[in-house]
Amino acid sequence: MNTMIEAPMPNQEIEELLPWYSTGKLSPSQRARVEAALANDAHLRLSLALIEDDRAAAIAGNEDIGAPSTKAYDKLFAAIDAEGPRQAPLMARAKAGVVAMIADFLGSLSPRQLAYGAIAAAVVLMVQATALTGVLVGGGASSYSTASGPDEAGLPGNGTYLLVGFQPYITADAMTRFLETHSARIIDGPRAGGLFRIEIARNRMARSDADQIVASMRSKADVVRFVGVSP
Amino acid sequence: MSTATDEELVARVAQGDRLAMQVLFGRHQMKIYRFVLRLVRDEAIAEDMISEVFLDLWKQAPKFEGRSTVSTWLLAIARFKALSALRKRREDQLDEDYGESIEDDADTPEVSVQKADKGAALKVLIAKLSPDHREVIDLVYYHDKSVEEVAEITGVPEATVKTRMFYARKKLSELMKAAGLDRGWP
Repeated sequence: MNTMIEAPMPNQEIEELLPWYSTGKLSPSQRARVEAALANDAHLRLSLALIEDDRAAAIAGNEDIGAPSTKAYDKLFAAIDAEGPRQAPLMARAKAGVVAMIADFLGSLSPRQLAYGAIAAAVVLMVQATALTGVLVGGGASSYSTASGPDEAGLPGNGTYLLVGFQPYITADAMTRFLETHSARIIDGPRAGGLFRIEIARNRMARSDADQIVASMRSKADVVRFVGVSP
Repeated sequence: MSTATDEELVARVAQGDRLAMQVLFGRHQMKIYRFVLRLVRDEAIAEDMISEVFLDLWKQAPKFEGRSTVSTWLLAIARFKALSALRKRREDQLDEDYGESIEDDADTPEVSVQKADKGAALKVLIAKLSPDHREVIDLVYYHDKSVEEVAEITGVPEATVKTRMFYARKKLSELMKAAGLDRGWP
């Protein structure tokens, strides 16, 4: 052990790839080259072992850093609120594109008056279609305006509320399903420690009823890491 | 089972979806905060910065083309903002402060105590690396970034990323040796 390796290293190119071999970020051909070299070079194997030590220390050093306060979250969504709702750019472009296309098409085939009349009719149809689409898809940004809206965030409210911490690996879909299963919705968060305040009823439930829901939620340990009653 | 990827969430953010924004924030805020804090070393500045980084995501989401992963994109934005903030805080003075400790061969009290624990000593000494070396170590080992992604985040050629990582490891081994923990490499 502790054998010094003379410079320059015989496998310098492979040596430089080792950190990414360790993290699984090499292409298959690079990985094969590294593995072939590792099989025949004890120095490389020592180097790889040290890389694993360094990696563990780097991860631990980062994980020692605590969570940020909710200040960043509050500031971010205050800034987003200040910007106001925005129209989906893709939809706007699509609408403009279709209207222009219809105008071009009719303009090339008909007298000007016919073209204008047809454009007006097409626009009416487009507005109707847009309105219907808006109803069907739930109105875009407004669908979620209650999640941290200034009317609710931070207020005790009259409903029944819980604090929930989701597992770090949870997907948005799984989170949504969990909330739907319990007829809950996010009111505020994430707060310090990554906790969300959720509403499980619009009115104040009996504590025993709320405790039952808490127990039910806690049984979903693959989804939540913490559930508690919130004022 | 379908799952919403970061890219799908950004597409929803581009349409003004606040819930998607909340999920993305929850998913990435910790790592971005840690990355920024390791650069600026000031919690208040780091917290301000992550709100700015995610506000950029909100504003730029319609232009996101998916050429890089969302986390790489966020880290690149965060790095740019962190370095701008450092320049404003007279970066030279900060580097000098940390550079002095790098040249100090004597054990710090922390390292002396932690010699028995190699992992703990490594943590302390990684924090003593130069900003460039510490950054590449964090991006590769903690943020799991490939050579190409580190190049994109830091704005240097891929060959430079590989050599920078090599010299960061070498410097770390030298610091360990100076602290009485010779690892026999390089």
